[in-house]
Amino acid sequence: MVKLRVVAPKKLPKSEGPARNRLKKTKEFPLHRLPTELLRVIWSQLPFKEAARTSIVSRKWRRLWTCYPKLVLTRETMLGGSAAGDHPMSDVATFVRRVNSIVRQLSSSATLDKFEIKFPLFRTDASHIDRWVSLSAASRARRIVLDLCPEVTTAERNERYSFPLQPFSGSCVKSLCLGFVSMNLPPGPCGFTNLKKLGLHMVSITGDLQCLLPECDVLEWLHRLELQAPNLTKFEFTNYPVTFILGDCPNMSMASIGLLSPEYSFGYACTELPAALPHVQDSLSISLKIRTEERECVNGSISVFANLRHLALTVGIDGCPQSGTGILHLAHMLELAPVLEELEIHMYYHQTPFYNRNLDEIASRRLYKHLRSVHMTGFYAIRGQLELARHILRSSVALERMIIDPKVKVPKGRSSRDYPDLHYADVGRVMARCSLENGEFPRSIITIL
Amino acid sequence: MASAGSGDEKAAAAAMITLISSDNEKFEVTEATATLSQTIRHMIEDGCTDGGVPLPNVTSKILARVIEYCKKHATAAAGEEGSSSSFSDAAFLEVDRAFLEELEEFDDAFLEVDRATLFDLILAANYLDIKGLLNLTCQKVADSVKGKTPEQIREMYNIVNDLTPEEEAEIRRETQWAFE
Repeated sequence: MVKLRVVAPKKLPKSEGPARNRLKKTKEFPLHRLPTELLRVIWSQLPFKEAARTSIVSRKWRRLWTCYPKLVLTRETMLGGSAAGDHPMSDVATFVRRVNSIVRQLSSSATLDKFEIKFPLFRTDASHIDRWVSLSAASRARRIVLDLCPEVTTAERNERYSFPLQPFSGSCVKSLCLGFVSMNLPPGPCGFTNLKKLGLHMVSITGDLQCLLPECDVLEWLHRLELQAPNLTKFEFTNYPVTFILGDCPNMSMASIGLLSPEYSFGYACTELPAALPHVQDSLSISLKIRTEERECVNGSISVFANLRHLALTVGIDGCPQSGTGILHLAHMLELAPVLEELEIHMYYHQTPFYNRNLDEIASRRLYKHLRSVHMTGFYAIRGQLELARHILRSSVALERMIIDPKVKVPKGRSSRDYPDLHYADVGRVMARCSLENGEFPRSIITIL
Repeated sequence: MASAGSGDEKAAAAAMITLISSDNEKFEVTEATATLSQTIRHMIEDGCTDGGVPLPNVTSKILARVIEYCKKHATAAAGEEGSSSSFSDAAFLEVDRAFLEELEEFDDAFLEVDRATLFDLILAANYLDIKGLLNLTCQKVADSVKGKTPEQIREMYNIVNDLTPEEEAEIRRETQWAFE
């Protein structure tokens, strides 16, 4: 504050006198003579914070700042990346005040390219968020990120902000990414006709049922998500299993599904997902949890991933290590993807592994004709894992390589626990060798790391 | 002349475009090079390039530089098309990468000009609607501002500070986060 008072008056004589003289001397780059739209192109290439800092150069630069096309409002930009949790309440107040100030400064006619808000906020902040969201719609932003996911799990109890769809009907949004909001879907499909990328993280999809039974948490996965987005090519979704219907998306190339609920998620992945994403072609990632006691998935699913070529499963395994063959039932996913070429399974397991030489088999219903490559990690050689590996080796006629990695390779943040990895990995390696390299299968295609 | 030639020669002759600078210098370029400019592409599509394309806003000195850029990037575009349609093996990806690096080096060297030339290049890229060149040159100006204090920016581009101390203090208050 003190510094401000000293600096400001000093500048006046400086800029009045000598600056004008210099202007005559060196006219080599008359930046201000560039047409305003070109100055805007230059501006849009400055990072957000840098662009804001230059608003103090002159009146013209100030006007340019109010038309800056990419708003990135995050903890990083607004609070200087100060660590979360030090002063949560004052952080929220500061964030809201600063964003409101920026929104006020924005020219009403500005067309935004990107509007991103990433900060933990809840329904209690709705009056502010509403204003920001309607600005993003009015400014015809093509990419919108509204990620309000809490930074600490205890905050997940808070009520989600309700994301309004009305301002966006028939809008030009190409990419929409929402986190920790709820959506109240009107009856009938809502039209994001230009949408190419949709990301939903911890989004609760509510409808009429919620009004009837507001306290019932389990309704989370009964609700439906229904979208008409014929041009969608990428889809990301992290949630409790909900029914979602994506209309017809023939160009869907990549989808990533994270299932938060420990229960039901395997059955959901086998029955609901193929129905919801029948067109996904290039790559599908599913993160789910199974129990070793899992019973075989009822083979009642009519839909399959008819065109899918690459499947990546991240599987948290739970349950008694001795019992059941839940892991083996992952093979069911292969039946649902008839032209699959590459399979990755990344497993993690919290229990002490138990080794068993009595392995089950499932009566192989079909041969996997296209499967060329299999990569399994977190392979401690517990019963279900060995059964699954043997089943794939038996049933894949075109298999070129199977890589078995005893180390856990689950992306960070998926699970907070550390794995007693090294010891189990060593034992797993030996067990895998005994079971898979005993001459029953061609040695050349198996690599045990 | 054209009617006497074979089909191939005709195609080759037709694919050359003459660009005429403001100081009346003529430049012969291939259609592939010229059509990096959307403005010229539209003129070609409308069939109004016979007898050359006059560019009254661009001097010969600047036009020569612009053509140099377009030639390099036209080959890059052609290379990209070829590789994506028929080759995807590692060897070709390697070649692609090497080529992209070469292109980057070219761009860096291309931008080693004085500020007056840079200014003219921006105007020419805008007039001719060459997106890549416009982004490249504007990025150069944006980079020159990065990390500079407002005073340094004013000095660099001879900008008079027409904000009153009160206004300046208000901006600092409103965008305090940007100065932290």
